[in-house]
Order: sequence, then C-alpha cells, then structure tokens
Amino acid sequence: MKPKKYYSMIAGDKMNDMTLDFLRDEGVNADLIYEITKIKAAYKVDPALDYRVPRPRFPYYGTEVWEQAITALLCGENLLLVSPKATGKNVLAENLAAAFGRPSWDISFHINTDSSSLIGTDTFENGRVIQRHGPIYECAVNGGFGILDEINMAKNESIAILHATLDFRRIIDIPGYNKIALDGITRFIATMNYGYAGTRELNEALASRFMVIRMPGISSQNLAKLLKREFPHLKEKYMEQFIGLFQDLQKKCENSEISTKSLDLRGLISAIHLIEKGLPASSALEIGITNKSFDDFERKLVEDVIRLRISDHQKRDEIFLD
Amino acid sequence: METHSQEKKRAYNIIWNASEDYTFRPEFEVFDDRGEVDLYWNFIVGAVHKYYDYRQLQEFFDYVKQDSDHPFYEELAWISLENCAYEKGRHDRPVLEDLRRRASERVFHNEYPESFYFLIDELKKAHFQRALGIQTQVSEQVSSILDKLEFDASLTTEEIIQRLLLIIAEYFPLNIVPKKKSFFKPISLIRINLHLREKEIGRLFRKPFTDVSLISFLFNKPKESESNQDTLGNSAIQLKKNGVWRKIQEQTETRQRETIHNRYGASLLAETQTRMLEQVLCIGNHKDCHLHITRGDFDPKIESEYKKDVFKQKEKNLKHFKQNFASNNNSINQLTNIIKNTMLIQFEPSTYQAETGLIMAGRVWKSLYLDEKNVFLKTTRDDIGSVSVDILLDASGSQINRQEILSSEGYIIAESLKRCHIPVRVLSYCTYSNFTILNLFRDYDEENKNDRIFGYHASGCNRDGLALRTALHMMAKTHYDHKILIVLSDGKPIDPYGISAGGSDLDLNFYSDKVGVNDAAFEVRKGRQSGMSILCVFTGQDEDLPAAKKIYGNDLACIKSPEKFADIVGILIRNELRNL
Repeated sequence: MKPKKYYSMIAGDKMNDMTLDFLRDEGVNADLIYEITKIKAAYKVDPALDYRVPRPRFPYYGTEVWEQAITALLCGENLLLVSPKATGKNVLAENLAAAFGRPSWDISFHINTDSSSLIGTDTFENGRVIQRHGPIYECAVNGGFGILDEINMAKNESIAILHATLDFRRIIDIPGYNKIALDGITRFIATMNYGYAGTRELNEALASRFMVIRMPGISSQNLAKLLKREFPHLKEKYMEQFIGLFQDLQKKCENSEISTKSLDLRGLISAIHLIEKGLPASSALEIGITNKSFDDFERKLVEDVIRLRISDHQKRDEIFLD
Repeated sequence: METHSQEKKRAYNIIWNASEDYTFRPEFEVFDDRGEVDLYWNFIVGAVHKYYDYRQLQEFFDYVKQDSDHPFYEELAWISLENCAYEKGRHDRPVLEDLRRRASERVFHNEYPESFYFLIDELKKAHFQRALGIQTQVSEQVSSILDKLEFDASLTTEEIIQRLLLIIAEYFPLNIVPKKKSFFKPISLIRINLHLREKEIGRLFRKPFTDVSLISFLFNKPKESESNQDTLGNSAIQLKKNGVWRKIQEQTETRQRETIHNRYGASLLAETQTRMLEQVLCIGNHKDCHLHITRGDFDPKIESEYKKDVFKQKEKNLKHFKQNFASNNNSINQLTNIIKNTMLIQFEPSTYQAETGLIMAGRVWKSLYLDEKNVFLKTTRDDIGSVSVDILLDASGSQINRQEILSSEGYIIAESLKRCHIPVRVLSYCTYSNFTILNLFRDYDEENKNDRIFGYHASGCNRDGLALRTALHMMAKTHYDHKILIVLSDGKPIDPYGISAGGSDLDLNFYSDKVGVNDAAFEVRKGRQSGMSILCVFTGQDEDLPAAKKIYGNDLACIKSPEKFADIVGILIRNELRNL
C-alpha cells in the first residue's frame, strides 16, 4: 500500500500543508482545525523565516492529545509535554508548529543553560558593543514557536528570567537593554522526560506557567499506522511482530526488568530501515535496539525478547513485499 | 544443579515475556546442558500460562508431586503442553516455527540434560521428529503413548488434565503418598485415584528413580495386552522371578558407566575395583549411587560438545590466570610465606634442662651439693610428622560463572603448598545422573603437574556427602601423619537423585537443603573424628553462607575480595598447622 500524501492549498499560504489534512483524517475536531486556518490567515510568516517552519518527518498519532494541545495553544497557553521515553514529545511539538505554520526555534536545555544563552548577550561587532539575540528573543519578536527541549535539565534558578515571558505578562525585560512584548502568536512548548535516574524536578513557579500534557505511550494501532506510513512494503505479518517486540520491551520497562535504554522507537524504525536496505534482521536490531543498553545482562534480556519475535537469520525479502 | 541466579532471572524474563504476566512465579525453568537458559522451552512455560488456566495445571502438578517419580510425570505433561502451546502461539509469533525446529535439533543432538527417565528422552525425540515431519522409527509403545500425548490445541485446560490423567492411569500408575492427599480437589482426580488403588499390582515393577522399570515396561510389555495393567504387573513379577530383571539392571548400569566414561574420561580404576569401592562407600544415604574416579583423559576417538567445552574452559582458565598473573603470583608468594613462617615457628628447636644432653658447666655444683640431676641442656626439635593436603574443588553447575576464579584459587593453594614441600593432591567433584565423578588433577608426588588444575570444568549437580566421604576414604589410605582436606565449595549440596532414607516423604528424599547439608555435615564430623582436618574456602553467595557454616563449622574462610585470598587462606592453614 502506498502512503497517503497529505497536501492542500490554504488561501494565502504558498506552502503545501499536509498536517491539517492529516488532522482531518485523524478525526480531530473540525472547529479546532478551522480556528487554526483562521490564525494562519491572520499571522503571516516572514518569507525569510519560512525555512524555520517545520516539515515533520513523522506525524503524531493520538487524537485526544492533538485536541488538548491545539486548544491550549489557541487559548494562548504554553505547553509542557511530560512523558517517558519514546512517546513522541518532540514529534508532537514539531507537528504543532507545522499545523500552525509557525517558524520554530529548538532550544535544548542543559545544566549550563542561562539567561544569556536564551535571550541574548552582549557581543562586539564592527567596533561596537551590540546585543546578540538569543533564540527566545528571536522567537518572541518573530511570532515563533519555541520548543524548549528537556526543560528540566536546566537549573531552575538560571531560567527564572523566563517567568515573565511565559506568564500573562508575555514580556522579555532585558536589564540595561530593552523591554519587549511577545508577538501575539508566540508560544512555547516545553518537553520533559520524567521518571528515570538523573532527571530533575521542575519547580512550581515554572510548572504553573504551562498547561501540562502527560503523553501516553504509543498504542499498537498508532504504531501500526506509523510503521505502515514509514514502510509501505513491510509485510503485515512482520509489522505485527515489530509492534509486538516494542510492546514486549515496553512491558519489561514497566516492570523494571530492563532500563528504558533499549525501549527506543527511533532505534526500532532505524533498524527496520537497515533491514530494508538489506542488513539481516538480527544485526539490524542489534545495533538499533540491543546495543543501546550497555549492561551485559540487560542486553541478553533484550536479545531474548527479539529472538522470540524475529528469527536470527530472517532476510529482507522475507520481511518486505518487493 | 543450582543455576546461577542471573540465568534464572533471564529464564524468568522469557517466561514473563511469553505469559505477559510479570506477577507469575514460575515453578519450571529450562536450562541446557551448559546451564544456559533455553529460549524455546522457557517461552513454552510462559505461553502455557498465557493460553491455559495455570491454576488448574498447578493443581495437577501438585497432585503428581505426591509421587516420588514426579519429575517423570511433569516431563510427560510438558511434552503434551509444548504441543498445545506451540499450536496456539505460532499464530502470534511466526518465529516459533523456527525456534521449535532448532529446539528439536538440540533434542536430537542431546544438548539438553538427559532425563533421569530413559522413556522421556525417547518420547521427546519421537515427538520432535514427528513435529518436523521426520519418519520415526520407534517402538509401537512409544508411538502409541505419543499418539495420545499430542493433544489438539483446541482442548481446554480441564480436558488436557483429564487426558493426561487417563494416560498416567493407563500406562504409569501413580504411587501416592497418602498424607499429602489433601492437596487435590477435583472429583475426577479422586475417581482416578481410587481406580489406581485397585491396580496395586501395577506398582510392583516401579521403583523411585530407576529408569530400569520403565525400560523393562517398555520393551517387555506383551503386545496383546496393551491396556491390561494386571497382566503387565504379572509380567514384571515374572521378570523378577526368572532373573531377567537383574540382567536388565546390570545392562543399564553398564550403559550408564559407558556414558559417564565417554563424558568425563576413562576411569582410573578397573570396573571391579570401582564396584568394590562402591560397596564400601555407596551405602546409607548414598545407596544405589555410583562413583567414577578419573583423570579427565578423554577418548580421542569420541567427539562431544562436552569435551569441546572442557577444552574451551581450560583455555579460559589459563587466560584468566595469565591476565591476573601479577596478583596471582603475589598471592602465591604471600601464602607461601605465611605457611613457611608458620612451619618455621612451629618447628623451632626448644631447649630444656634434662638429665642428659650438653653439660652446663655452671650448674655442675648443683649435682654435687644439691643432688640436682638436671644439669644438662637438651635440645629437641618438635617433629610434628609428615603433613599432606588434599584440595577438593566443587565442580558443580553452581560454579559455572566462577570457573576461572576457582581454578586460579585451587592453583594458588596447590602451588604455595608445593613451594613449602607439602605434598598436595587436587581433585574436583560433581554429580551426573547417579554418578559422583571425582576428577584427579594432580597426586601427591606429581609436583610439576599443578597446571592440570586449569582443566577444571563445572557441570552437573553436587552430592557433597559422597564426594567428601570418598575423598576422606582416599586420604585415610595414605601414610601421612597429618592429613588436611581443603574444600572449595559453595556449601550447597543438591542432587535430584535423592536418598532413600526418607522413605516415601519427598522432602526427606530430595538431596538438597536440609537433607544435603546434614549429610555433608555428618561426613565432615566423621572425618574430623577420625583425626583429619577439614577446611572450607567458601566460593558461593552470601545467602548460602549459613549452610556452609553448618557443614564446615568455624574452619571456613569467606573470600570477600581476591586481594585478601592469600591472607585469609593463610590464616586458615596457619591455625590448622598450629593445632597439629
């Protein structure tokens, strides 16, 4: 089966918009989609920033989450997507920016993230001290979607500067420089991985400035859709096995028998790509999934799960149609 | 065999994966000949839990447990359950077809531990041959049992149990221990049980843990009376009477000896000598057990997986030793010094005043005026006599992940003692089927053969009591004045072959836990009473320490880190030498 192409021409928009068609197909509330088209018509994207409007590699499947997220964004709220690994936080964030047709800024948070790396810092250019703008600033003035990836990895104190930006004040006040107001369509979508060792708690002040969506793990139907779209030639029988494999691993993680390292949807999809290219299934899954874990015993457990789904010597032709 | 906890955890994970129930605590796990987890069979255990009502099956297993031969019935049931679970599971997981084919090949190549029951192995082989569509050449009896055993996957759990019970009733009547009857509830079971009691005579030819009975049953069953239990029973009695029974028994034993010979190497003793030794040692708790004392020299004509494994392990042992050469050498030097120092202090000359000896000129006057006779100085050297050390290495499956360490430890002790000119003998022991195998690496006079210790290889179970008894017996025959036995063990005797002392009570029969520990402890006490010193270097996990303490008392060294090995063993040996 060939993958369905989503495209339509929306008035005033030169870009093929596949995402909205996709939302219709997924059964997302038509009113919400209509609201989006209105917003898109009202807020034009600077052609110079057109390259920043994402063209998502994967669609996000999950109607309920879509509706929650769209409604919140339409109401001017910022989003915090919380979920364990491999549930599609970044995929959803990217898809939301694409659906609203907004340029996006990806900002990865880390322990050394501070106000200067977010908003901007003084720099020296042509013999003058000038302000070099950071991604939050750019996002604010250009009406973009700021994707704050792994927001909990930064120190809470060092990103306190964002409090005024994220709440009703919607301003960025840079001491000694300027105070600017956020563009009407500027939104921030933060993601946060919660629950494994090493993740930090987000403080209340920051959390209260977001609408929080707890994203569920991908369901088998949605995973089937995803695989079908990615691999139109994958045989039904084997698609079921790959889905089963992912669920087996998910169950093992839930029961704390293995860590989340090998529960890797990206890795699974990449491994199937390698199989499609001709690598034997066992070695593709080994580099895509098993080896993600660095513990010998855990690798053995993951290997057992794989061997109970896919035979060691399975070749491409058995798994793909053509 | 106590399989390493990690492999056990791995087996659990496969079972949970298949059953999709992580709260399930499986009673059966399957490991292959090398103690590694078997993917297919563990999957089957989990799949049975998923597709059938395991609670009912559990009741069935509890029910057959009342018979001392319950492993036979369990294995029988699993052959049929495999068939059902496979049929159901292969739609969910097409890979099962391939896994089953491989499992079949492993059965054909004997890669699973042999069952105690000849018939089970026959049935398994025939079953998988059928599964692969191979023409089977089996006896009519095996074929007919299999016909009934390979159920259709559409049967319900209840129907499966009913059919299993019918097969058991028809072919292998249960020998129930009455006090445990309260275990089972279903009416159908009671009915069959009553029916069985009427067939009392059928039991006469079944003995606990002897496959002889099953073989005889299988090959001597009159064709015309296939379903007639009474006739069968009579034929068995007939067999006993006319001596054919004894002949079968002897043939089976010879066949077993051949298997052991092929697997572990030729016996050091002639068969008659071994039998004589068995008559002395294989009594009491170890009745019906056999001994095999070998040098581990394999027949070059025989190629087997086990043999390859042994050679591979030898390389691994040597590699491990060489990798840690500096620290191992350090340990040897340290241990050598401790022993040497102890011996020097112990054997230092002492002097005292006596009536004879070297005259002390300054004291001569005492003899004249005080009638004191002790005016001589006598020097004596404490001669404690000759000392020998025997090292006994536990080579059971529980040590499978510590083989390199254990061989190194054995080598370090042997080499240190050699450097102190103390004669050493090194043996390893394990149990396979009802044979306890002692592998002699080096004897007292073979000073240059310490390297052979790296031929150490762990497999099978451990019947510590019999191994200790044999080692002590061998030591008793030597001429040394003081004999020390150092056992490197995890203090966890286990042997499904069991003992007959407990009568029909299964818990008392099984050679493990309390029974095994008590038996080993008894042998140790007996050895100590006869004047031998028995020390233990503990090589297991902390949880097994109390059992080891029970066996060896305070003469037990627990090695927490390899750097301390020499020190701790040194203290143990020093204390022993001081007490001589």
